[in-house]
Order: sequence, then C-alpha cells, then structure tokens
Amino acid sequence: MLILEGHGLTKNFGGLTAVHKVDFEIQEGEIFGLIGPNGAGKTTLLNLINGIFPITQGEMFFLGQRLNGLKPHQITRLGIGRAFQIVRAFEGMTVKENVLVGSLFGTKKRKDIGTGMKETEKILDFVGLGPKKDYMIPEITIADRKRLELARALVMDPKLLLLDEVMAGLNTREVEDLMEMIFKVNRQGVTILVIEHVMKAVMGISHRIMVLHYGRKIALGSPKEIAENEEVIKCYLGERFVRKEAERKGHSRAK
Amino acid sequence: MVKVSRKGWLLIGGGFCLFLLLAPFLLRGYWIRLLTNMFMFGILAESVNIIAGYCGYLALGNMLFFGLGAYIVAVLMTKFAFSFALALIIAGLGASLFSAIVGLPILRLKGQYFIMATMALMELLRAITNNIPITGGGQGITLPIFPGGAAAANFFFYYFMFGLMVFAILCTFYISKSRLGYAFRAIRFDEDAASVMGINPTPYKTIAWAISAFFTGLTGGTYAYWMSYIDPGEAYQIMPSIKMYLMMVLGGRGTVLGPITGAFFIEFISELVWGKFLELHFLILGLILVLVVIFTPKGFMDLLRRGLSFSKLMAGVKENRV
Amino acid sequence: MLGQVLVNGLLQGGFYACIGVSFSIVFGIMKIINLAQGTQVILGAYITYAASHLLGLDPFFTLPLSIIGLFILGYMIQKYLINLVAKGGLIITSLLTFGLNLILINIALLIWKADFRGTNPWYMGMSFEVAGVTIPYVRLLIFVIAILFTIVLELFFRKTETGNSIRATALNPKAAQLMGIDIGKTYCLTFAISSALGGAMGTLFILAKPISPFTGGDFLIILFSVAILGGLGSIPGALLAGIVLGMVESFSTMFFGIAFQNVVLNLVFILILIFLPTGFMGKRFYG
Repeated sequence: MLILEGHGLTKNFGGLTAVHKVDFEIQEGEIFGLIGPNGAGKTTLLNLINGIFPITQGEMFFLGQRLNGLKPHQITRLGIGRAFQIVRAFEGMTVKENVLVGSLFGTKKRKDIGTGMKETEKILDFVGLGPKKDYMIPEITIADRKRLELARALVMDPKLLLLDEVMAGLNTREVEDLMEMIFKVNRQGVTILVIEHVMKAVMGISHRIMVLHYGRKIALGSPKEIAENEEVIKCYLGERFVRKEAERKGHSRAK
Repeated sequence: MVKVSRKGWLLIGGGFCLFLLLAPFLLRGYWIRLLTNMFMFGILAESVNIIAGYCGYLALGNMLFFGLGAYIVAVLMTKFAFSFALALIIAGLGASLFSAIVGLPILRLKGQYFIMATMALMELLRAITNNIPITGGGQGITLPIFPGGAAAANFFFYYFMFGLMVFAILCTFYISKSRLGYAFRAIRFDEDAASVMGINPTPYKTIAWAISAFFTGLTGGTYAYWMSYIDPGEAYQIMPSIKMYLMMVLGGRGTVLGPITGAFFIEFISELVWGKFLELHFLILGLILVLVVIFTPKGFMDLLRRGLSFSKLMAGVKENRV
Repeated sequence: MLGQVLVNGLLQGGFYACIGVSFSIVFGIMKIINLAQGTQVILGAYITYAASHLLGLDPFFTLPLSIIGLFILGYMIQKYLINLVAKGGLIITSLLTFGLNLILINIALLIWKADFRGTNPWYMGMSFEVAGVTIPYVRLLIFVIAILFTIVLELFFRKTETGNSIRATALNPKAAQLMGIDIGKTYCLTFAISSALGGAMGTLFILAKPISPFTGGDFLIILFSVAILGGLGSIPGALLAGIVLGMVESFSTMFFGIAFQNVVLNLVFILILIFLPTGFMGKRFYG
C-alpha cells in the first residue's frame, strides 16, 4: 500500500526553482532514502510534505488524502512526524518538556498533561534520554540533541517519520546506535523517509533511494542500483568515490 | 551570600502577603496609594508577560488596551450611567475583543513588524480619541467620584487592585501549568517547529493577546475610576508600556512571579526618584533600562542563581555581545 | 490649490525619505528598531541652534557640525552600548534604544529646557511662485539637500568597499565574519552613518520648524512607514515611500484638517504592514 505519493511536485521561490516536477511513491513500511548534493532541494521537499512551504505545482497524497493547502499542524496530526536537520529544540525548555509538546499537540487525541508526561517518559527511555530528561537544551551534547529530535518526532506516534540528516555531526558509534534505533522503529511498522549525507548510513538502511539534483529527480531504485547508476555517480558521489569503488572491485577481482 | 531555602521563601512570601492584606489598617494614605500603584503595574507587567514573556510576541504598544479600557469605563459611566462593575466588565471584554479583531491580521507579522504595528495602533487610538466628541477629545472626561470620601476610595481601590493582581497571578500560574502554556512557549522559541509539532499558532497567539488585553483593559478601567479623570495623553502612553517591559525583563520573562517582583521593585524606586529628582526622572529611568538590558537581560533571579560576582556579571554580558 | 498641496507633499516627502533612510539602514542591517532616532535628529537640530546662536553661523553652514557631532555620538553609542546587547534579541535592543531615547531627551531638557527653539535666518519666509504655486526657498533647499544625501548614501553602499562590507554583513553576519569583516566595527560604522544622517536632517528640520526635546517622538511613525513601505534598506524605495508619505500627509491635511493627520498616518502605516509588508520594491533586506 502507498503511504505517500507526490505527482509533479514543483516549488518556486521567486524566480528560483528549488524542486522541479518530482514524482515518487513511498510504500507503507519501507525505509526510503533521499539523497543529493547540497542545494538539491531535499529539505525543500520535506518542507513541502510538512506544509511549511505551500506547493507551487503538483499534488501530494498521504494515505490517499490530498495534502495540498493543509497547514503544518494539520499534516502533523494526520500522522507525519519530523525530525529537523538543524536541531530546532525549544531552548529554555527542558528535554522532557520539549518532547511533551509533541505528545500534547502532535496527535489527533486531546491529552491532559499527565497522560502526555507518561508517553513522554516512555519515548525518552526508548531513545536513551531518560536520565537527562530534566536537562536544559544547551546542557546536552549534539548526539543527545539528535536523539531528542527523534524523540520529538516519535512521540507524535507517526505513521510516516521524516528524518532530515539526523546523523550529521555524529561519530561512528553514535551513528550505529541511531541506525539501530531507526531499524527498531521501522520494525514497529513506521514508514521512514530519511535524508542523509552520511552515505554509509543511507545505503545501509534504505530499501529504496531517490536522488535529487538541482531540484530534479535523476534516479530512483534500490541502493545497489543507485550505487551503479552512472549519472548519480557523476553528479553526487563524486570522482573520489568512483575511484575508490573501482579500486575495491579491482581488489575483489584480483582475489 | 545568604541561601534561602524553599521553606524560607514561602515564609517570606506568606509574611509579605499578610502585610499587604493588613496594610490599609497600618499605613498612611500616601503609602496606600503607592502600593495600589505597585499592584497596578504588577498586573500590567504580568499581562505583558503573557503575550511577550510566554508567547514571544512583543506588543510594545500594549498600553493601547489600558487606554481603551479606561475610556470604555469613562464613557459608559458618564454618558450612559452604567455602574462601575458593569462598565469594567465591558471594558475587559471589549479590550479582549479588540485585540482579537486587530490580532488576526497583525499577529501574522513577525518580530519587528509586530512591535511597530502595536505602537502605531496605540498612536492611532490616541489620535482618534483626541478627535471624537464622545470621549471629550483632548479635554478628557471627568468620571463620577467614588462615593464615601477619599479614605474609603483609598481603601476600595487598594483591595480592588490587589484582588485583580492576585487574579492575574493565578491566571498566569494556571496557564504556565496547562497545555496553553506549553503551546505559548513553543511558539515563542520556534514558531515553525511548533507548528510541525502539531500546534496551530494563530488561535494560541490570539488567545495569549486576548488574555493580556483583558487584564490590561480591566486595569485601565479601574485606573480611570480611581483617578476620576482621564485624557488621551494619559491613557495612551508609550512610557508605561516600556516600563512594563522593563519590569518583566528585570523580574524574569516567562515566569509567574517575576514580572510582579520587577514591578514592585521598579515602581518603588521610581516613586522615590520621582519625588526627589523630578528633573532627572527620564535620565534615571533611561539609565535603569540600559543597565538592566546589559547586565540582567534574563532577570535578577538568573543573576542571583549565577552568583553575584564581577567576573560572572561580565560573563553574562559577553553572551549577547557582537 | 491642488498644485500647492502636491508641491508641499513633494517637498516634505524628500525630508521624510531621508530621515526614513537614516532609520532603515540600522533596521535593515542590524534588525534593531532604533527608538532614539527621532531624538538624534533633534540633537542635530540643537547643534545647529547652538552654533547659529553662539557663533552666529548661518544654519545651513552648521551642517558639518551636526553631521560630525552625531557621527561621533552614534559611533560611541553603538560601540559602548548597543554592541553589548546586539545578540540579545528584539526586546532587549528595543528597550535599550528606548532607554537611550529617554537619556538623550533628558540631557536636551537640562541644557535647553522644554521651550520650543527655532532659527530665524534672513532668508526665512522668502519664496518664489511658479504657476500659482508658492515655493519657499528654504523648503526647496531642504528638499534638494535631503535627496542629495540619500543619493550619496546609495552610492556609498553600492560603490565603496566599506559600503559593500556593510551590505554583506546585513545579508549574512556569520558569512561576513568568515570573510574577515569585523562585525562590531561594521555595526558601529552603520549606526554612526545613520546618526550622522539623522543629525543633518535635524539641521534641515529646525530651519523649517521650531523644536523641543520631545519633538523627536513625532517622527517615529514616519520612520517606521518609510522603512517598511520603502522596503528595508532599499534607498530608491525609501525615496518613493517618503514622497508618497509626504503626499498622504499633505492631502489628509487638506481633506480632514491638521487634527486628523496622526489618525491618517498611523492608519496608513498599519494598512501598509498588513497589505504591503515587503513595501514597494518587494525586497525585505539589503542586497
């Protein structure tokens, strides 16, 4: 079953086209990767899904419902949770309060503070922030802030989770921990759209990957197909990666 | 520094409240009027705290609701023979309603634009009040005098303002603990992120401003009856608006009791200064503003928490420096 | 009659454009609402008043004095006060500039008292007539000088290296810093230029009307309107906005009388904010 579909999605800013006629379909239950060089329009596409930017042209459907013209909070309550690229935690609130906001407002149910607090604690334990729940935002590390972003999105009980470069700036161990968590969430039935710069991570976790370049879709397929797609290799992965890959293949052949 | 425990604070607070409750029996008229004035600024600072401290929208022209409330009470009591109670309720609700109507278009404006819009709105109301006959124009309106003499009036307005202030504090306390408070604060820190987390900003901002306008309108109405005279220059002033913000910042933005303590502190010294250095009043208030924003932009509680030493003071200054 | 109203509006508009620009460069570049700008204009006027009375100078020749005086004052204000809180957010910077406003007003009150003061040069009241429209020489000269200053400023921002670094800072302070621009100094210079321009406008203002320490407050709505309507930091936009505003004022005085001038100006400003928030030029910031 399709969870999210975009047909001919276009976004113009004044004279600039950030996203140009992009079509895609995301299956329920998959992990869908979105990659592309800087300025390819990845975050803009997420902002279109969220309703932060209005769609210039094209249509978008979530579980069959048209998203065009809906406000961000309405889209969120349909079941689309988002973790931001640049951490957008509410400074001046504690870790717990940050998550609580999502729990109180991010779902269709109207909850009182007590119920929201219980859900919040559960999610915080899941992402491993339980012991730091009363810290203020400036007091926690980058890795913890990324976990917090994930917790804020998860607490809204999303059917589709948008992850915008949640692994940027983390070390290898932290990336592995986070990947583990993402798998766990996916196994519980949550569809995930992940934008990532850390190549290893995207290739490792995505079932299918879409590549954007200057706002256009240039490829969509399995990680293996993407890795072998000439155009993608040229414009995104860069010369260095191509060379390395060739060396690796040469090695394995030599063996 | 002396450390005061939680129990200690409760004791000090309780004692102070008891003193305020008994004050009219202990003090002379001058002090009663000064305390009433402090309560009044307490309410005003708390109202500003709801829209600016919690919700992050800097309604710098918030005195517009004060003027509106004052004039609603004045006109209703003199031209239509309403009782004070009824006129005051209409003033509060009227100010709220007005804030909702103008709020819908101007609460969409961000930051600097919203500040300017509220300032212009206040000037607009003053200019209109100055030019229409029902308000008495620039001449102002004289209200009926409180029956029963000056002493009774002192007594009445003291307790009335005190009651209003307690009401405003309780309201703010309730907001801070409720869904409303979380929504307000989320909007203050990052409106886009708040909406992605399911908060529809428009109604919450409107509610925040309406509550703020409600209390400011009530205060204005009470003030008009207390002074038994009101004119446009007095009702719509930028200076008290700025003072409310100073009080809120000094006491602590987005805290329940901060603005009240800020108001007491500033009104108290302002009264002492006003009495002694009439010619330097602007200069001194200006200096206080400058010093407060440079040294205690997060309020004096924050300063106390960090400890009162010169190096820590300078470290605080560094945070906002370019 | 109509011609006279148009010409009055135009002449007034040139002055409005220039004080508007003096406000909007600080607003556009530092995102600071300088609530003291009106009083800075008045300080420039007092410098002219003092110099022409004490030294017997012709008011027009005091322009360099008010410019230099306010440039130095502006630089100091930015360096020792505003820079200390520049990252503190709107509420903090607005309270600071208002506090500054109070201090400046009080200083003016101590020196010159609350009375209205003016200049009265020999050419005051002389005028010529074109097609039935009376044009006072002084107003015309004020107009020409104001427009000239505005154009010079535009050239400064577009053509000089310093001007370019100020614009770069406006667009992206962090990137500018990486490119080796000293933000603190750039801000000082920006504020000093804004103050100097304001001071010059004070000199021009006192030629036309007497002032008191409180006159500065009357400018605020004009400053706001020109800044928004002109599009932040767009100088041609500000010129257009100033002239439109001059016309609005002049026509509203004709139709509704002087008493309603403030009603009209404030109402127009609020409507601009709601319906034309990016101004005539559709640009929000310098660039």
